[in-house]
Amino acid sequence: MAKTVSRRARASTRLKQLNYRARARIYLKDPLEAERNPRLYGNVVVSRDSLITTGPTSSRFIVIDYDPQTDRVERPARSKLVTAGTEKMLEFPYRRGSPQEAQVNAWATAIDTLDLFQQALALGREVPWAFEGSRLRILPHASCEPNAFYNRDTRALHFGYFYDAKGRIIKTSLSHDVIAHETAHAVLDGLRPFYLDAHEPDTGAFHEFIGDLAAMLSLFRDSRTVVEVAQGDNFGDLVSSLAPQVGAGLYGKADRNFLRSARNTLTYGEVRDVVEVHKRSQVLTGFAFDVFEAIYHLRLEERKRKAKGPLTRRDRVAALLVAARRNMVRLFVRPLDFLPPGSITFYEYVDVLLRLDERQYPNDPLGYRREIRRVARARGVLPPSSWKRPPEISNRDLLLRDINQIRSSRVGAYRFINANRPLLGIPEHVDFRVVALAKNLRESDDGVIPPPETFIQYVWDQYVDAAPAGMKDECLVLRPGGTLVVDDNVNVQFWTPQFYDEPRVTQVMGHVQRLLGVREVDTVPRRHTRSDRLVEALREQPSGALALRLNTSLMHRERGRS
Amino acid sequence: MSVRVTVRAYNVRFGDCMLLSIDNGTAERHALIDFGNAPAGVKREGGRNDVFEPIARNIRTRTKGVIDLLVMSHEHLDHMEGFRDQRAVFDGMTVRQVWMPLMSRPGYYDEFTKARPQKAALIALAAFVERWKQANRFRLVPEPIQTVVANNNLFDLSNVERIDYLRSLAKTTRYFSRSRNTGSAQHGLGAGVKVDVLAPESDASVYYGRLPDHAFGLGERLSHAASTMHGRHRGGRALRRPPHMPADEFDRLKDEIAEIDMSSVFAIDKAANNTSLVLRITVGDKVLLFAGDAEEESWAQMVKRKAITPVDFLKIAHHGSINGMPFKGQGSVLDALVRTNKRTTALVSTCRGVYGESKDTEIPSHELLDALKQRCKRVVITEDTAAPGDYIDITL
Repeated sequence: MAKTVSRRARASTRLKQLNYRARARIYLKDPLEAERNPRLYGNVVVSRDSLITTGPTSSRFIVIDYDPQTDRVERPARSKLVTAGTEKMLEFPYRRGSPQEAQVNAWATAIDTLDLFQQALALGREVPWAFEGSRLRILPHASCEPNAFYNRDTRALHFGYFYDAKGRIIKTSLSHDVIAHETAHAVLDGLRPFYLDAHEPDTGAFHEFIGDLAAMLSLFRDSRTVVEVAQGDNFGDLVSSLAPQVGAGLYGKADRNFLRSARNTLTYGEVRDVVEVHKRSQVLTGFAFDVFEAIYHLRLEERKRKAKGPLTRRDRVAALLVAARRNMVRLFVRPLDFLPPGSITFYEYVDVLLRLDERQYPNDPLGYRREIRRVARARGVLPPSSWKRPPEISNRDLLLRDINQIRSSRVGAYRFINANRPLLGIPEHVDFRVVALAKNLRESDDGVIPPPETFIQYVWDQYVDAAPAGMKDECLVLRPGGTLVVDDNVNVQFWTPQFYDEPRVTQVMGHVQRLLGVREVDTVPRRHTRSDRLVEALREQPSGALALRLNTSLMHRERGRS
Repeated sequence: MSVRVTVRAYNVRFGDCMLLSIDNGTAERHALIDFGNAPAGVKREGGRNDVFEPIARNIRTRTKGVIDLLVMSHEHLDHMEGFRDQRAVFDGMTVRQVWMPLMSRPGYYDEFTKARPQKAALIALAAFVERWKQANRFRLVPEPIQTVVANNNLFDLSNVERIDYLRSLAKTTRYFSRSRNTGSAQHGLGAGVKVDVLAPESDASVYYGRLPDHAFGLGERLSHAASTMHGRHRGGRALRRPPHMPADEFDRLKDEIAEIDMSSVFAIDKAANNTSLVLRITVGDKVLLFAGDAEEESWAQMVKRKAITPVDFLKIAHHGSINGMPFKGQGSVLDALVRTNKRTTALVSTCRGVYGESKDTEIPSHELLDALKQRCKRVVITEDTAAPGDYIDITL
């Protein structure tokens, strides 16, 4: 009898642990902004992850405070139970400037960033990590350098720290924007593992764009930041200037006071031959920011029409919240689940974005799509008139329409796709595979919960001779494939196929040639060691072909400061 | 009168040692180019230096104790360890002059400040390695990196002593780069011999201009770490491992992080190879090229300067590694270096199974050897043609 009680008690404790939320004191932007405006440092409630404990550790994240350069392990932040109002809550007390401050800050911000993607408005589902493991590791003092990166092999976000000209320490793990950016890399890698392949220039840039987008949008998780943004004279400076403290530490404040800005005028045409992913990504980041600004002004205009007197700060806050929380997340984050699995170009992304919006709002009642098209055209990312959308798939022609079988496993989904090969344009003899299978439960803009959608990602390997690109008679592997979205009755909701025809292969080779030209790719595959180049050539077995993979540990290392 | 040109290539296991002898009928002059072996600890006895003594004695006999020109191509042990190791022999010889790359000149980094990161990185790396050694963790470093560290002699930064010893051997020590070649005409190898310095460029930073921070961030990072080790973590005792992670999992994580951190080592090694003094020696109608360990960045500069012309004798760069001398696809220099109709002799000074853990990274590269065999009159591989400590004479 005593044993039963004990078991019950344990279960009860576990249940409590499962439900505890945590309170964390963090920087809403970074220490520099908090110095200017103390309201940007304060408590947030961490509620989007469960089983919170020492570390901090939770179901999806674990903080390991190990500094490889000093070979030291710092004490993990410990939680204590406090009463906040009527609720019992966990809290991680720390001294400002202590290692535990960085631990708690990085952990709480990463959880919020993951939620930005997983929320019902966006993907409406749990996002898996790209590695074998359930917890993403966070290393808040990973190296003494102005660098932060996500690495699939270490299953970790590595945050560096460095010293500015005055010898003050700057920790990237205290910067909201850096944490959100790196977490977004991990999220996108979980959603589209092949997007770290570097045979197409836009794919790496897209990774960067999603990082910067997450940094911009996750700022709006907290009303304090929204109020600050709304109060600012210059719309969205707090949003568009990414990682101000890191930027100031690196460059000084004279000419540049942020690491990167979403406010730019770059066009796709200007970066067409640019290999560097950050520069390239700024076109899409700028596009997203322009759309944000446009939607905000549309909302503001609408409020102006409805309001009787002049616009109050409250009006502006509300407009911002609506613009950011609902529309930006829907427009820019939701398409991620609809993208092809192998790689992505800016045109493909913008096309999916527009197609989804058309599907949801065929008549464009608020004029958002008109604005998006205008901005996309100005940035040069609007698919050209010659752009061919995939043909409609007739549901009547589909075979094996059994949603239970499709959802049962990847093999079940494979049988369905295999049965419909001709419809999907999959060559008869290729051995394609289903690489991901997911179901969502999301919420639309107006609060309606539509029926769930099932996403099937499939790819096959296509080998191309890389000799013309000077890669020593090597063979490159590309991943044609597609994403098919069906509803509960196996009606096709969306389809994004991707094929590597001759013109596209030529483009790939042109890019590989450029990478070779600037010596950013390792042409000799290494084993057991990392490359010192931005792109690594990995030999796939058993084919022996090379896959070009972005070396994420170098992606954000500050360059040109020899 | 015909001139007899002979290259005696010694099997030093993994390293370079070549004695060029030019006999014009009246006198014979000798140039000794490099003398070293891979450091101890590498695979397949690559680092066994028992070959040095018989080779040094043979050099003394062959030159009758007089070396007209001694060349150290660059500061890697497999190109210079033998000299100081056999000082008992060399002390008793006459060395008329010593040539080194410009980077070995004292004060070089004061003049070429852009190249400083390389030096800083080396010093920082040495400190890093030392710390790992003290923590008994060096064995955790991936093997290829261990050998690179060893090859750069980072366990014991006493290269200065080795280079000082070389300087002490001759009254004249000259330092050359492609553009600073004054004095190269006074080579002492006799009239009718011309020596061109093709590489290195004076400013070594040209070899890593594209990737300064990838390659040398390590230096910056490590010096920060060293200076702040006790600053940042003031107060509070550190732990041996995180209490909330299993020990074995944490050990794996540490190993994986170490791999990432050590990637910069390759860039440092590459930069040192690219400081190799590359000499083209013309004797009558015979042209010989001694390329040291020049890697692709150095070849790219030589191509840019239009310095690549066909030669009769070619010492293959970097022991026949795949990333030493570009030999395939666009940017191949091999085709420009070998004479048509298979009239070039190639020397690959190497030892198999010492470096490279796969077909892709093995030294020598089988692909390069195949390409040489297709294009050259003769391909001499030291390991195949002479026992360790022995030699082969190549007469041109």
